[in-house]
Amino acid sequence: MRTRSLILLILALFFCLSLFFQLTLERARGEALSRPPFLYLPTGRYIKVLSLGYQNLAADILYLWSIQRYSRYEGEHRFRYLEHVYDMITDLDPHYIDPYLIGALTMAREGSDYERAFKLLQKGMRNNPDEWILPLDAGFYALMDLKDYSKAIDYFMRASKIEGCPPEVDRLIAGAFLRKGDKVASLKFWLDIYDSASNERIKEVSYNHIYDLKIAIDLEVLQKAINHYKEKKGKFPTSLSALVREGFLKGIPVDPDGKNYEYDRNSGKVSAASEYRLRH
Amino acid sequence: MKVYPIALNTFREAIRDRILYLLLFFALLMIFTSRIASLLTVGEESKIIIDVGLSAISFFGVLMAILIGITLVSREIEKRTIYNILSKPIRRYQFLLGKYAGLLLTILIMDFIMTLGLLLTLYFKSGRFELHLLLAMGLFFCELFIITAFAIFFSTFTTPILSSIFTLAIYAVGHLSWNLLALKERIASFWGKALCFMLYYLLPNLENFNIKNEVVHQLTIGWKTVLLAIGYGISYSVVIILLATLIFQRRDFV
Repeated sequence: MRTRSLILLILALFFCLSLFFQLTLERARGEALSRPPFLYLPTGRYIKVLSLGYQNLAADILYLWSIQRYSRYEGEHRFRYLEHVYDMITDLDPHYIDPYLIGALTMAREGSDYERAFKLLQKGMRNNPDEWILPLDAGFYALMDLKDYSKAIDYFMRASKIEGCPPEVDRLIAGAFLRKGDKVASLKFWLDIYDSASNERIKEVSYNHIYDLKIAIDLEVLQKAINHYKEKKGKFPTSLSALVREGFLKGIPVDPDGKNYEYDRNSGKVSAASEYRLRH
Repeated sequence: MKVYPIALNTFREAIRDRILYLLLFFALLMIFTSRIASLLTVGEESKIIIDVGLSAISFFGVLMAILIGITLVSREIEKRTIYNILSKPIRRYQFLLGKYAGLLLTILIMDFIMTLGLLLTLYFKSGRFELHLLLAMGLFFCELFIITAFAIFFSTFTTPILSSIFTLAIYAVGHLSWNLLALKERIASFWGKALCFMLYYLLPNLENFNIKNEVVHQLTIGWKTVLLAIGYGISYSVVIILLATLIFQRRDFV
């Protein structure tokens, strides 16, 4: 009995000792974490060879590890090897979509490195041409973060051509065209959305956009013709019908409610009689 | 048919081996705990379970084939039971074929249990049976045809420890042999190129059976590819078993 108690005591003592070593090690490692740990990480090509056919598992392990690493807001050099890490994961498993999305998200939103985020998403698009989520994601960064509307339109258009892409992407394209300043292209997309609307709510929203865009485009056309008239004749036209009579316009448009546009011959300004439904 | 009783006896002997259950336990543990690991991901959790599960089945399946395969013949020699068996009207190739078939049956059952474990884990996660994984398991079983054949081949002329090292080496080489073609392109010398080319076709190409990636991402796998891989697995293992028979014939047990 005494021997047994002695063994238990020694056991407890050594367990405490191992705990002490473990805790000391953890503290030491904590300090080591502030140093860049990826300096010797090989490329995905080499890991693929070393994985002996288990490259999917290797990609999963690296991906899980990257999520744990980048979910912590510590470390001075957190983003230095971000591209390398996600390149490695996507080299190991090029069809694994999540790392492209999460890698791009971390690069763009956390590391403010949009160039690399687009590079990663483009790699994903090359490896997975049937995945609409990748160009859609790239389009979002271009639209929302960079305000690069041409780039956003390119990506959204690419996504919309892929089977299974939600039809809502057309609304994003229409919105991006409007922000870019191309009201005519935006109107074309809203007309298509209106024609193919699957419910009343979409029909109503798209009609409101069409309504406002029609007024905005008409006012621009009329104002341009008035200014042209002023340049040629040295004075503003007496009425809008004078523009048609003298060949500056083919016809006078009316707003979507069928009302005529109002014209002030003194200031040469044209305005809508109807109110905008949204604000363009 | 003299192969059948030897196969049955090998099967009975193999399923009594404790190491088999130890490996099965760890494989199932890895498969079930993959559900916990999947919680750490952002995105598709099932992918992690499938990857870990398929890898566990493949890794432990190979270990089972090697650790049991290498002792099958050597144990008979060590215990001198081989003298009893070969004194009966049994040809040596029938003895080896029986051992091979018995071991394959054992591994097939173990693989079935591990696959069932994976399918159930996925069922509890997603509520459906991911039966497309069976194709990957089927081809993996073809890979085991070759590994098991090599384990028996080595055990006919060397010790169990060396057999296990050689078979593990064949497993590693089999998954790396595609690099020989890449190496061939980089070598300038004609003889170097010829050696790479020869080794590439001489060594087993176990990557032919690796369709884990295609199965996980549900990519199209041509039936032609599957059938050709099965054909390759069967014909290559026949070659190895025949080589094992040739060596085994020359051994003196009288």
